[in-house]
Amino acid sequence: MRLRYVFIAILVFILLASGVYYAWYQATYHTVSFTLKTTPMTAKITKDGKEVAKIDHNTSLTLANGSYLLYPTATNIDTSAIGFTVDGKDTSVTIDPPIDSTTLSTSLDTEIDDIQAAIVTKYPQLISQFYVDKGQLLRQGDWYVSTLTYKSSTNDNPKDRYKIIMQKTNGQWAVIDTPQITPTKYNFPQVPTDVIKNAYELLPERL
Amino acid sequence: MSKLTNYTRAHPVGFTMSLIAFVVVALFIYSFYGVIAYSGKVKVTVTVAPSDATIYVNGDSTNAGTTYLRPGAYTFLASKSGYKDGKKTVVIDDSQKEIDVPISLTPESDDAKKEADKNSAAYLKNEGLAGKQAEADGVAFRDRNTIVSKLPYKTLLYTIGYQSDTSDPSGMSIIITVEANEGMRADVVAQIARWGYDPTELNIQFRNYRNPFQ
Repeated sequence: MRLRYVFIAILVFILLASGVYYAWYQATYHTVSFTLKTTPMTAKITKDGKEVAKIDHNTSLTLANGSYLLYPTATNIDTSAIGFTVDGKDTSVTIDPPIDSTTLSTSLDTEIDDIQAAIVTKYPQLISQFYVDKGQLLRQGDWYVSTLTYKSSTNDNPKDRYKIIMQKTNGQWAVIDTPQITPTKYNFPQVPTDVIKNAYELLPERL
Repeated sequence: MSKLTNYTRAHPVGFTMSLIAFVVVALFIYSFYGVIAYSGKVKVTVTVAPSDATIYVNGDSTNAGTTYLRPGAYTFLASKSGYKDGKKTVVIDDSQKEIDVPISLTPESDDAKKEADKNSAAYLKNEGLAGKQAEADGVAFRDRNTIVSKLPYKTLLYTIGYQSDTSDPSGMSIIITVEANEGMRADVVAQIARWGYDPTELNIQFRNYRNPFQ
Protein backbone atom coordinates (compact mmCIF):
# COMPACT_ATOMS: atom_id res chain seq x y z
CA MET A 1 0.00 0.00 0.00
CA ARG A 2 2.82 2.38 0.97
CA LEU A 3 4.40 1.80 -2.44
CA ARG A 4 1.24 3.21 -4.00
CA TYR A 5 1.63 6.47 -2.07
CA VAL A 6 5.26 6.75 -3.06
CA PHE A 7 4.18 6.23 -6.66
CA ILE A 8 1.54 8.96 -6.34
CA ALA A 9 4.08 11.31 -4.79
CA ILE A 10 6.58 10.65 -7.60
CA LEU A 11 3.85 11.18 -10.19
CA VAL A 12 2.84 14.50 -8.61
CA PHE A 13 6.49 15.54 -8.48
CA ILE A 14 7.02 14.65 -12.15
CA LEU A 15 3.89 16.57 -13.13
CA LEU A 16 4.97 19.63 -11.17
CA ALA A 17 8.54 19.44 -12.48
CA SER A 18 7.22 19.13 -16.06
CA GLY A 19 4.99 22.16 -15.51
CA VAL A 20 7.82 24.22 -14.06
CA TYR A 21 10.15 23.17 -16.90
CA TYR A 22 7.48 24.02 -19.50
CA ALA A 23 6.86 27.45 -17.95
CA TRP A 24 10.62 28.11 -17.70
CA TYR A 25 11.18 27.03 -21.32
CA GLN A 26 8.29 29.18 -22.56
CA ALA A 27 9.65 32.20 -20.66
CA THR A 28 13.29 31.67 -21.69
CA TYR A 29 13.33 30.43 -25.31
CA HIS A 30 11.71 32.19 -28.24
CA THR A 31 11.52 31.86 -32.00
CA VAL A 32 13.52 34.43 -33.92
CA SER A 33 12.81 34.73 -37.65
CA PHE A 34 15.69 36.01 -39.77
CA THR A 35 15.22 37.67 -43.15
CA LEU A 36 18.34 38.21 -45.25
CA LYS A 37 17.86 41.18 -47.57
CA THR A 38 21.17 40.70 -49.37
CA THR A 39 21.87 37.44 -51.16
CA PRO A 40 24.19 35.63 -51.18
CA MET A 41 25.04 36.42 -47.56
CA THR A 42 26.14 34.46 -44.54
CA ALA A 43 25.70 35.69 -40.98
CA LYS A 44 27.38 34.46 -37.82
CA ILE A 45 25.31 34.90 -34.64
CA THR A 46 27.16 35.21 -31.34
CA LYS A 47 26.21 35.59 -27.70
CA ASP A 48 28.77 36.65 -25.09
CA GLY A 49 31.50 36.20 -27.73
CA LYS A 50 30.56 32.58 -28.49
CA GLU A 51 29.13 31.49 -31.83
CA VAL A 52 25.53 30.34 -31.48
CA ALA A 53 24.59 29.71 -35.10
CA LYS A 54 25.44 30.50 -38.70
CA ILE A 55 22.76 31.21 -41.30
CA ASP A 56 22.82 31.73 -45.06
CA HIS A 57 19.14 31.92 -45.94
CA ASN A 58 15.84 33.11 -44.44
CA THR A 59 15.24 30.90 -41.43
CA SER A 60 13.96 30.72 -37.85
CA LEU A 61 15.99 29.80 -34.77
CA THR A 62 15.00 29.10 -31.18
CA LEU A 63 17.13 31.37 -29.01
CA ALA A 64 17.29 32.10 -25.28
CA ASN A 65 16.60 35.58 -23.91
CA GLY A 66 19.62 37.86 -24.18
CA SER A 67 21.65 40.17 -26.39
CA TYR A 68 23.19 38.84 -29.59
CA LEU A 69 25.56 40.14 -32.23
CA LEU A 70 25.22 39.18 -35.86
CA TYR A 71 28.20 39.47 -38.24
CA PRO A 72 27.11 39.57 -41.91
CA THR A 73 29.42 38.64 -44.76
CA ALA A 74 28.69 39.47 -48.42
CA THR A 75 30.13 41.45 -51.31
CA ASN A 76 30.28 45.27 -50.92
CA ILE A 77 28.52 45.42 -47.56
CA ASP A 78 29.48 46.97 -44.25
CA THR A 79 30.39 43.95 -42.13
CA SER A 80 29.97 45.73 -38.79
CA ALA A 81 28.13 43.71 -36.16
CA ILE A 82 24.36 44.15 -35.97
CA GLY A 83 22.88 43.80 -32.49
CA PHE A 84 19.51 42.33 -31.59
CA THR A 85 17.83 41.31 -28.37
CA VAL A 86 15.52 38.44 -27.50
CA ASP A 87 13.38 39.71 -24.66
CA GLY A 88 10.49 37.55 -23.57
CA LYS A 89 8.69 37.05 -26.89
CA ASP A 90 9.06 35.76 -30.45
CA THR A 91 10.67 38.31 -32.70
CA SER A 92 11.88 38.87 -36.25
CA VAL A 93 15.21 40.26 -37.39
CA THR A 94 15.73 41.73 -40.84
CA ILE A 95 19.37 41.69 -41.87
CA ASP A 96 19.85 44.54 -44.29
CA PRO A 97 23.45 45.65 -43.78
CA PRO A 98 24.42 48.98 -45.33
CA ILE A 99 26.64 49.06 -48.38
CA ASP A 100 30.27 49.75 -47.49
CA SER A 101 31.43 53.36 -47.52
CA THR A 102 33.75 52.97 -50.53
CA THR A 103 30.94 51.63 -52.74
CA LEU A 104 28.54 54.32 -51.44
CA SER A 105 31.08 57.04 -52.20
CA THR A 106 31.44 55.77 -55.78
CA SER A 107 27.64 55.60 -56.16
CA LEU A 108 27.32 59.20 -54.92
CA ASP A 109 29.39 60.41 -57.86
CA THR A 110 26.78 59.02 -60.25
CA GLU A 111 23.78 60.14 -58.14
CA ILE A 112 24.85 63.67 -57.15
CA ASP A 113 23.45 65.41 -60.24
CA ASP A 114 19.99 63.85 -59.74
CA ILE A 115 20.12 64.74 -56.03
CA GLN A 116 21.05 68.38 -56.67
CA ALA A 117 18.35 68.63 -59.33
CA ALA A 118 15.73 67.29 -56.88
CA ILE A 119 16.76 69.90 -54.28
CA VAL A 120 16.50 72.71 -56.82
CA THR A 121 13.06 71.45 -57.88
CA LYS A 122 11.88 71.42 -54.26
CA TYR A 123 13.29 74.87 -53.33
CA PRO A 124 13.70 76.69 -56.68
CA GLN A 125 14.09 80.21 -55.20
CA LEU A 126 15.56 79.61 -51.79
CA ILE A 127 18.30 77.16 -52.69
CA SER A 128 20.21 79.80 -54.66
CA GLN A 129 21.07 81.37 -51.29
CA PHE A 130 22.81 78.18 -50.13
CA TYR A 131 25.85 76.07 -50.88
CA VAL A 132 24.84 72.42 -50.98
CA ASP A 133 27.63 70.15 -49.75
CA LYS A 134 28.38 66.92 -51.59
CA GLY A 135 26.97 64.99 -48.60
CA GLN A 136 26.79 61.25 -48.04
CA LEU A 137 24.80 58.29 -49.25
CA LEU A 138 23.67 55.94 -46.49
CA ARG A 139 22.29 52.44 -46.00
CA GLN A 140 21.70 50.80 -49.41
CA GLY A 141 22.43 54.06 -51.19
CA ASP A 142 18.75 55.01 -50.89
CA TRP A 143 19.24 57.71 -48.22
CA TYR A 144 21.21 60.92 -48.59
CA VAL A 145 22.22 63.54 -46.02
CA SER A 146 23.93 66.86 -46.61
CA THR A 147 24.55 70.32 -45.20
CA LEU A 148 23.16 73.56 -46.57
CA THR A 149 25.25 76.65 -45.81
CA TYR A 150 24.16 80.24 -46.45
CA LYS A 151 26.38 81.81 -49.12
CA SER A 152 26.14 85.09 -47.22
CA SER A 153 27.43 83.59 -43.94
CA THR A 154 30.70 85.13 -42.75
CA ASN A 155 32.68 85.06 -39.52
CA ASP A 156 31.34 88.51 -38.64
CA ASN A 157 27.80 87.66 -39.66
CA PRO A 158 27.36 83.89 -39.13
CA LYS A 159 24.19 82.19 -40.25
CA ASP A 160 22.68 78.84 -39.32
CA ARG A 161 23.53 75.73 -41.31
CA TYR A 162 20.80 73.27 -42.21
CA LYS A 163 20.79 69.50 -42.56
CA ILE A 164 18.81 68.06 -45.46
CA ILE A 165 17.68 64.43 -45.72
CA MET A 166 16.56 62.78 -48.96
CA GLN A 167 15.34 59.35 -49.99
CA LYS A 168 15.39 57.57 -53.32
CA THR A 169 12.11 55.82 -54.04
CA ASN A 170 11.28 54.19 -57.38
CA GLY A 171 14.42 55.72 -58.88
CA GLN A 172 13.47 59.28 -57.83
CA TRP A 173 15.17 61.40 -55.17
CA ALA A 174 12.88 63.41 -52.88
CA VAL A 175 13.47 65.72 -49.91
CA ILE A 176 12.03 64.15 -46.75
CA ASP A 177 10.44 66.50 -44.20
CA THR A 178 11.98 69.99 -43.89
CA PRO A 179 15.70 70.83 -43.60
CA GLN A 180 16.56 71.61 -39.97
CA ILE A 181 19.43 73.08 -37.95
CA THR A 182 19.31 70.06 -35.66
CA PRO A 183 17.77 66.91 -37.12
CA THR A 184 15.88 64.95 -34.44
CA LYS A 185 13.38 62.14 -34.40
CA TYR A 186 10.73 64.79 -33.74
CA ASN A 187 11.36 67.00 -36.77
CA PHE A 188 12.20 64.06 -39.06
CA PRO A 189 9.49 61.58 -38.01
CA GLN A 190 9.63 59.72 -41.34
CA VAL A 191 13.36 59.05 -41.21
CA PRO A 192 15.15 56.05 -39.58
CA THR A 193 17.08 57.06 -36.46
CA ASP A 194 20.47 55.92 -37.82
CA VAL A 195 20.02 58.25 -40.81
CA ILE A 196 19.07 61.14 -38.48
CA LYS A 197 22.16 60.53 -36.35
CA ASN A 198 24.36 60.49 -39.46
CA ALA A 199 22.82 63.77 -40.59
CA TYR A 200 23.42 65.33 -37.15
CA GLU A 201 27.04 64.18 -37.03
CA LEU A 202 27.81 65.17 -40.63
CA LEU A 203 30.41 67.90 -40.61
CA PRO A 204 30.01 70.76 -43.09
CA GLU A 205 32.52 70.74 -45.95
CA ARG A 206 32.76 74.52 -45.84
CA LEU A 207 34.14 75.49 -42.40
CA MET B 1 -19.39 7.84 10.58
CA SER B 2 -18.58 9.21 7.19
CA LYS B 3 -16.52 7.40 4.55
CA LEU B 4 -13.87 10.19 4.70
CA THR B 5 -13.37 9.73 8.46
CA ASN B 6 -13.09 5.96 8.00
CA TYR B 7 -10.53 6.44 5.24
CA THR B 8 -8.57 8.99 7.28
CA ARG B 9 -8.32 6.57 10.21
CA ALA B 10 -7.48 3.58 8.07
CA HIS B 11 -4.92 5.35 5.82
CA PRO B 12 -3.43 8.28 7.78
CA VAL B 13 -0.24 8.45 5.65
CA GLY B 14 -2.17 8.28 2.38
CA PHE B 15 -4.60 10.98 3.47
CA THR B 16 -1.80 13.32 4.58
CA MET B 17 0.16 12.82 1.35
CA SER B 18 -2.94 13.35 -0.78
CA LEU B 19 -3.71 16.52 1.14
CA ILE B 20 -0.15 17.83 0.74
CA ALA B 21 -0.19 16.94 -2.98
CA PHE B 22 -3.51 18.74 -3.40
CA VAL B 23 -2.27 21.87 -1.60
CA VAL B 24 1.01 21.90 -3.60
CA VAL B 25 -0.81 21.47 -6.93
CA ALA B 26 -3.36 24.17 -5.98
CA LEU B 27 -0.59 26.59 -4.98
CA PHE B 28 1.30 25.86 -8.19
CA ILE B 29 -1.79 26.46 -10.36
CA TYR B 30 -2.62 29.64 -8.41
CA SER B 31 0.94 31.00 -8.83
CA PHE B 32 1.02 30.08 -12.51
CA TYR B 33 -2.35 31.77 -13.04
CA GLY B 34 -1.07 34.86 -11.21
CA VAL B 35 2.01 35.08 -13.43
CA ILE B 36 -0.07 34.84 -16.61
CA ALA B 37 -3.04 36.99 -15.48
CA TYR B 38 -0.94 39.93 -14.19
CA SER B 39 1.94 39.72 -16.66
CA GLY B 40 2.52 43.09 -18.37
CA LYS B 41 -0.07 44.83 -16.20
CA VAL B 42 0.30 47.58 -13.61
CA LYS B 43 -1.38 47.52 -10.20
CA VAL B 44 -3.85 50.41 -10.00
CA THR B 45 -5.58 51.29 -6.73
CA VAL B 46 -8.67 53.45 -7.12
CA THR B 47 -9.98 55.17 -3.98
CA VAL B 48 -12.98 57.41 -4.11
CA ALA B 49 -14.66 59.67 -1.57
CA PRO B 50 -17.53 59.12 -0.92
CA SER B 51 -16.84 55.40 -1.11
CA ASP B 52 -20.24 54.47 -2.61
CA ALA B 53 -19.78 56.60 -5.74
CA THR B 54 -20.04 54.81 -9.08
CA ILE B 55 -16.73 54.48 -10.92
CA TYR B 56 -16.13 54.13 -14.65
CA VAL B 57 -12.83 53.33 -16.37
CA ASN B 58 -12.86 54.40 -20.02
CA GLY B 59 -16.67 54.25 -19.82
CA ASP B 60 -16.88 50.78 -18.25
CA SER B 61 -18.33 50.46 -14.76
CA THR B 62 -15.90 49.16 -12.12
CA ASN B 63 -15.42 49.02 -8.35
CA ALA B 64 -13.08 50.94 -6.09
CA GLY B 65 -10.03 49.02 -4.94
CA THR B 66 -7.21 47.31 -6.76
CA THR B 67 -7.26 46.40 -10.41
CA TYR B 68 -4.55 45.47 -12.93
CA LEU B 69 -4.33 47.42 -16.18
CA ARG B 70 -2.12 47.22 -19.24
CA PRO B 71 -0.05 50.32 -20.17
CA GLY B 72 -2.14 52.95 -21.90
CA ALA B 73 -4.31 56.00 -21.26
CA TYR B 74 -7.28 55.60 -18.92
CA THR B 75 -9.98 58.03 -17.87
CA PHE B 76 -11.42 57.36 -14.41
CA LEU B 77 -14.81 58.94 -13.77
CA ALA B 78 -16.60 58.85 -10.40
CA SER B 79 -20.13 60.10 -9.90
CA LYS B 80 -22.82 60.22 -7.27
CA SER B 81 -26.08 62.11 -7.04
CA GLY B 82 -25.61 65.46 -5.26
CA TYR B 83 -21.88 65.57 -6.09
CA LYS B 84 -19.95 67.08 -8.99
CA ASP B 85 -18.42 64.31 -11.12
CA GLY B 86 -14.73 63.60 -10.47
CA LYS B 87 -12.55 62.82 -13.47
CA LYS B 88 -8.90 61.83 -13.70
CA THR B 89 -6.90 60.82 -16.77
CA VAL B 90 -3.92 58.61 -16.09
CA VAL B 91 -1.32 57.37 -18.56
CA ILE B 92 0.19 54.10 -17.39
CA ASP B 93 3.54 53.04 -18.80
CA ASP B 94 5.72 49.93 -18.47
CA SER B 95 8.09 51.58 -16.01
CA GLN B 96 5.43 51.98 -13.30
CA LYS B 97 4.96 49.19 -10.78
CA GLU B 98 1.85 50.55 -9.11
CA ILE B 99 -0.20 53.69 -9.20
CA ASP B 100 -2.82 55.30 -6.94
CA VAL B 101 -5.86 57.03 -8.41
CA PRO B 102 -7.56 58.97 -5.63
CA ILE B 103 -10.76 60.79 -6.65
CA SER B 104 -12.62 63.09 -4.27
CA LEU B 105 -16.07 64.29 -5.35
CA THR B 106 -17.08 67.85 -4.52
CA PRO B 107 -20.46 67.93 -2.72
CA GLU B 108 -23.03 70.27 -4.28
CA SER B 109 -26.38 69.54 -2.57
CA ASP B 110 -26.96 70.21 1.15
CA ASP B 111 -27.34 66.50 1.87
CA ALA B 112 -24.11 65.77 0.03
CA LYS B 113 -22.31 68.49 2.00
CA LYS B 114 -23.49 66.98 5.28
CA GLU B 115 -22.43 63.53 4.12
CA ALA B 116 -19.01 64.85 3.04
CA ASP B 117 -18.51 66.40 6.49
CA LYS B 118 -19.17 63.02 8.07
CA ASN B 119 -16.72 61.42 5.59
CA SER B 120 -13.96 63.95 6.24
CA ALA B 121 -11.52 61.16 7.18
CA ALA B 122 -11.97 59.53 3.76
CA TYR B 123 -11.44 62.89 2.02
CA LEU B 124 -8.31 63.50 4.09
CA LYS B 125 -6.94 60.06 3.23
CA ASN B 126 -7.56 60.73 -0.48
CA GLU B 127 -5.70 64.05 -0.28
CA GLY B 128 -2.75 62.23 1.29
CA LEU B 129 -2.77 59.67 -1.50
CA ALA B 130 -2.98 62.43 -4.12
CA GLY B 131 0.05 64.14 -2.56
CA LYS B 132 1.97 60.86 -2.50
CA GLN B 133 1.10 60.21 -6.16
CA ALA B 134 2.15 63.73 -7.17
CA GLU B 135 5.49 63.16 -5.46
CA ALA B 136 5.91 59.82 -7.27
CA ASP B 137 5.00 61.52 -10.58
CA GLY B 138 7.66 64.18 -9.88
CA VAL B 139 10.31 61.51 -9.28
CA ALA B 140 9.23 59.65 -12.45
CA PHE B 141 9.36 62.93 -14.43
CA ARG B 142 12.91 63.70 -13.27
CA ASP B 143 14.01 60.10 -13.91
CA ARG B 144 12.65 60.24 -17.45
CA ASN B 145 13.98 63.74 -18.21
CA THR B 146 17.30 63.82 -16.38
CA ILE B 147 18.39 66.79 -18.51
CA VAL B 148 16.08 69.06 -16.46
CA SER B 149 18.66 68.94 -13.65
CA LYS B 150 20.92 71.03 -15.96
CA LEU B 151 18.22 73.51 -16.89
CA PRO B 152 17.72 76.37 -17.24
CA TYR B 153 21.25 77.01 -18.51
CA LYS B 154 22.04 80.64 -19.22
CA THR B 155 25.11 82.34 -20.62
CA LEU B 156 25.56 85.84 -21.97
CA LEU B 157 24.96 84.52 -25.49
CA TYR B 158 22.22 81.93 -25.13
CA THR B 159 19.68 80.20 -22.89
CA ILE B 160 18.64 76.55 -22.82
CA GLY B 161 15.40 75.81 -20.99
CA TYR B 162 12.48 73.42 -21.13
CA GLN B 163 8.72 73.36 -21.09
CA SER B 164 6.11 70.63 -20.77
CA ASP B 165 5.09 68.97 -24.03
CA THR B 166 1.33 69.45 -23.94
CA SER B 167 0.82 66.96 -26.77
CA ASP B 168 1.69 64.15 -24.31
CA PRO B 169 -1.30 63.56 -21.98
CA SER B 170 0.92 61.84 -19.40
CA GLY B 171 2.68 65.19 -18.74
CA MET B 172 5.99 63.31 -18.71
CA SER B 173 7.45 64.71 -21.94
CA ILE B 174 9.34 67.96 -22.38
CA ILE B 175 10.41 70.30 -25.14
CA ILE B 176 13.93 71.72 -24.90
CA THR B 177 13.85 75.42 -25.71
CA VAL B 178 16.90 77.20 -27.12
CA GLU B 179 17.22 80.95 -27.36
CA ALA B 180 20.27 82.01 -29.32
CA ASN B 181 21.34 84.32 -32.10
CA GLU B 182 21.43 83.37 -35.77
CA GLY B 183 24.50 81.28 -36.54
CA MET B 184 24.90 80.06 -32.93
CA ARG B 185 22.00 77.66 -32.63
CA ALA B 186 23.86 74.51 -33.69
CA ASP B 187 26.67 75.38 -31.23
CA VAL B 188 24.10 75.59 -28.42
CA VAL B 189 22.78 72.16 -29.33
CA ALA B 190 26.38 70.91 -29.24
CA GLN B 191 26.43 72.01 -25.58
CA ILE B 192 23.55 69.61 -24.93
CA ALA B 193 25.59 66.84 -26.58
CA ARG B 194 28.59 67.75 -24.35
CA TRP B 195 26.38 67.08 -21.32
CA GLY B 196 26.04 63.54 -22.63
CA TYR B 197 22.58 63.74 -24.18
CA ASP B 198 21.84 62.75 -27.75
CA PRO B 199 20.20 65.82 -29.36
CA THR B 200 18.58 63.66 -32.06
CA GLU B 201 16.50 62.00 -29.32
CA LEU B 202 15.27 65.32 -27.89
CA ASN B 203 12.40 67.54 -28.92
CA ILE B 204 14.27 70.82 -29.47
CA GLN B 205 12.62 74.10 -30.39
CA PHE B 206 14.33 77.40 -31.10
CA ARG B 207 12.84 80.65 -29.79
CA ASN B 208 12.53 83.77 -31.98
CA TYR B 209 13.29 81.67 -35.03
CA ARG B 210 11.68 80.92 -38.35
CA ASN B 211 12.84 78.03 -40.54
CA PRO B 212 13.38 79.51 -44.06
CA PHE B 213 12.45 76.16 -45.64
CA GLN B 214 8.99 76.11 -44.03
